[in-house]
Amino acid sequence: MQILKSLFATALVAVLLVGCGGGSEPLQKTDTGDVPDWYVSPPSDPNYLYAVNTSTSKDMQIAVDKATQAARTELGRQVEVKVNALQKRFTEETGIADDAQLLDQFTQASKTVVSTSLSGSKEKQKKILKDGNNWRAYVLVEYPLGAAQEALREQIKKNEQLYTKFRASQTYKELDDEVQKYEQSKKGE
Amino acid sequence: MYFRGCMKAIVLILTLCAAAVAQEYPRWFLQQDQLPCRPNVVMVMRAPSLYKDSAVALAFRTGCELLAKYTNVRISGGQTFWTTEAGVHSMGAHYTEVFDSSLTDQFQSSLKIIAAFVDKNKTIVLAGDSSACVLNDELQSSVRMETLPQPGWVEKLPVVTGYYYGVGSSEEYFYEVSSWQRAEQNAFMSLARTTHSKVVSLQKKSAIESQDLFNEDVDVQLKNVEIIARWKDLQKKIFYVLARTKQ
Repeated sequence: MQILKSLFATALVAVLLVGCGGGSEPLQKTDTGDVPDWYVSPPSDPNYLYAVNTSTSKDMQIAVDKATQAARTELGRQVEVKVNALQKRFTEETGIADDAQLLDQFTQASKTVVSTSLSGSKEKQKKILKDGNNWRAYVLVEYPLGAAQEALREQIKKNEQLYTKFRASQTYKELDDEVQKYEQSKKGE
Repeated sequence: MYFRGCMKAIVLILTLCAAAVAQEYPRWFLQQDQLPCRPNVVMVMRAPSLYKDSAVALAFRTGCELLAKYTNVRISGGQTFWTTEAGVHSMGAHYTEVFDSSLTDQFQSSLKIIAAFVDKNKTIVLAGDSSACVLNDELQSSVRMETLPQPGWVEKLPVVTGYYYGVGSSEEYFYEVSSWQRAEQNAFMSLARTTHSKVVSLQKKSAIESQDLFNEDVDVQLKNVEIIARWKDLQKKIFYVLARTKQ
């Protein structure tokens, strides 16, 4: 009887030790899976802009929307950097910095392009996982750079004075070449 | 006690059978792009509560309204997110869809019910031009979802010249129909955002905090939206729908 009691006590202690030992499993169960390779190393292409983002939410679609919108916002910032750089080259080459009215018109054209140029930005890749009680979405968004350049060129063409001043410049020729390449690639894809 | 055990076993077996049947779908539902006729529409609705024919008729009428929307619709609205150190918070979303509802009557008179699939959980109806929409044996057959591998488009959008693609996803709801409908609506909205979206962001950063407010507005006209394919991840319980529209 004493032996049985000892055995029982030993077994109970062993069960408690195994059950409450902690181990390497976290308190909250997760199923994050592998982080996608394209999230860690986004693709690189001179004709496209890429942005990645990840977000969580208890509602799956909100997680996807958060991640996608944040990625698109990042695309907008990248486009703004490109357009600002282009603006600087135009002003330096054509000297419109001295003409306040022209400079203002060109700045307006650039701002319009940045706020409306996200036409054709797409969720190139997406992965949805369960992360504890939440959903986690990884998103890669792609945007053709040629579309922003095309939009900027069209904005410039709308203003006759700007167009007259710019079309002879080297910067405009390069912009025009890039846009033509983009239009060709759209036809030939 | 023995009787209770038997009853529990019977209930368990019946539930498992129902679940097994519920994972079967017609191929024309999962591979809608393979259908030989345009326009066509597939509508998923709740299982019939009493009369199967009434459920099919209701699904047909609702499907015609859905097709009217997919033919030509203007979507406008937006959503805003606010990011702080505590995380990203949804500040709300509001969208309106405006389409010509007279097309619904036009489709109701010109389209016919080509096929219907009814089980315990859902009623699925395919409507199209009866003379052109002749389904071959493969399309008419049913397939079990667990036999289908994950399609490539679930994680990577197809690239086809002249088309925008969008993938919508949904978690599992109590009614399976709600999951399919939500995934389809999300695919539709993804197409709208791909076609054109305006993103505005305001970032504030100080010594003690940083915030980011970003807003996305959509105001687009979508025409001839097509649902291409559907798939369900049984393990993660996520429903996926692939849609496309011409650029």
